[in-house]
Amino acid sequence: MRALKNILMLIVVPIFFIACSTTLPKRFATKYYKDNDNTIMRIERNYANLNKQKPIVIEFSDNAFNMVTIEMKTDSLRYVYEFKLVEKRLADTLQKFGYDTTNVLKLINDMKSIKCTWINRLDYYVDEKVQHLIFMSIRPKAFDALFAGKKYYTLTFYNQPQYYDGEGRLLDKRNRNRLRKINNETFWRINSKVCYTVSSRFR
Amino acid sequence: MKSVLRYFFFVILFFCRNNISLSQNIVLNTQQIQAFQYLDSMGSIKQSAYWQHIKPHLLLQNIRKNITTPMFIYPGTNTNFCGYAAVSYSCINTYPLRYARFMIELYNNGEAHFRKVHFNPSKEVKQAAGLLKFKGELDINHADQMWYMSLADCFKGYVNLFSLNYKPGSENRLWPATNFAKFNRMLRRMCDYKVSAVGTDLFRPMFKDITFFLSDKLQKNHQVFLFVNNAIMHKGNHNKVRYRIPTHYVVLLHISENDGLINLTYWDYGFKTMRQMPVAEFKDILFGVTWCNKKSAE
Repeated sequence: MRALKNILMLIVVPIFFIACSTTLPKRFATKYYKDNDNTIMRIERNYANLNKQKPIVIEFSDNAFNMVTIEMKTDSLRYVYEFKLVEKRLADTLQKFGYDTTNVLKLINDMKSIKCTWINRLDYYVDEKVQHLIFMSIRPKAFDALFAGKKYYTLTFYNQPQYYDGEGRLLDKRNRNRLRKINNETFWRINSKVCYTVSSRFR
Repeated sequence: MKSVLRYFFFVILFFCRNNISLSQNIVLNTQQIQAFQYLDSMGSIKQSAYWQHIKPHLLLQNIRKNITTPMFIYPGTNTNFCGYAAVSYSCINTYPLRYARFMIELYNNGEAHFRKVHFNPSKEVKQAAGLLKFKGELDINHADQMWYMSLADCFKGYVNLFSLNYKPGSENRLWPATNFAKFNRMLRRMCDYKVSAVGTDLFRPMFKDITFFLSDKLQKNHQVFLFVNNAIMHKGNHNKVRYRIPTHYVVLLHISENDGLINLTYWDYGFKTMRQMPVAEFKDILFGVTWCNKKSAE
């Protein structure tokens, strides 16, 4: 009887943990956006303005959010540098490349405050015309759960309202049932212009 | 002393940037002009019966763009076309006229030869080309979709053994994956280069002085390709455990070493990138080096 109990425990406990780890991210996603709405929107606006002036991509490259990798794009060359947040050469480099240093540093600090690991602008095409969206990956602490396979909460910000199916999944176009997948992930509605997915990769 | 060096570095960067912006006035070589003349002589082309989803105007627009600026050839986001893109970067630069003829013939007849390589892609590939979506600029680059998918269908390596036939979505999986031997074979057969290589798919090659080795190859006017571990170069997650396997190809353009840091300028994903990294990290990500004598256009 005791052996049977042990065997049952060996089966039930892992199943419980796996079930928790897979349901956690989706439950967490919508609540997270509501709780951090202001900071997320501030980051999105600030990044959109900065990127309009000069293309830039920001990534936190370590788990402790102390190292930041910056991609600065000129007409024909992309420069990739990694800095410690405390290093003075971070500000120096931004200035040398003609970025709005104050706002970039503010953006980096905002990103760190909500554990945003990556921000970028992506191009996509609708009827052969280029459109842009802002792609933001966040790694909240709750995602560090022992069995959590998918660790990043990815938000996409569109300029125009998007189309969704009855389940809230992002669609390619109004009259089609084809899902719009970005990086092979299905996205879900937060509001008409913002969607999310939960992913194992931040970019 | 450090601040002086830093200042000097930025001054060099400033001049580099100026030179690049000056070089934006593109001057076409004879081969490129001939390729354009050939395309002009075609006038407008009809919708192919073989490639039903490739739009003729997008095909021609894409071929012209690739001939003018091979630097902007883009393999798409989250695909496994990087090996083909690296080969194309060199191949289209060297053989623009051959490339233009091949693409038009392949489009019109459904099959064509590029040198001795015969391309007759499967029905599934012909059906899917033009339909790849959410891959960035590749969405509208119909010539690139046709080209990459034909290359992936034609060249096979052991990594493709379990995914020999195209299915929708295969472009992101093992179907187009390129192991080191397959990459070198493609270069030899497509470009007729004399190809030399060190490295493997699993074990890193040993170099006494990696910077000297690579810069020496560049100085001798070789085209140099690096086979690297992309999980470190283009980090996608913060996992502490990383797969120690190479998955990405880049074209090396310049390399120098300063204070234990390597300044690497390379081409991938349709753009030139300059990146600094410690020498140890560079050695850690490098699994293969291929070099070949650059050829002047035919």
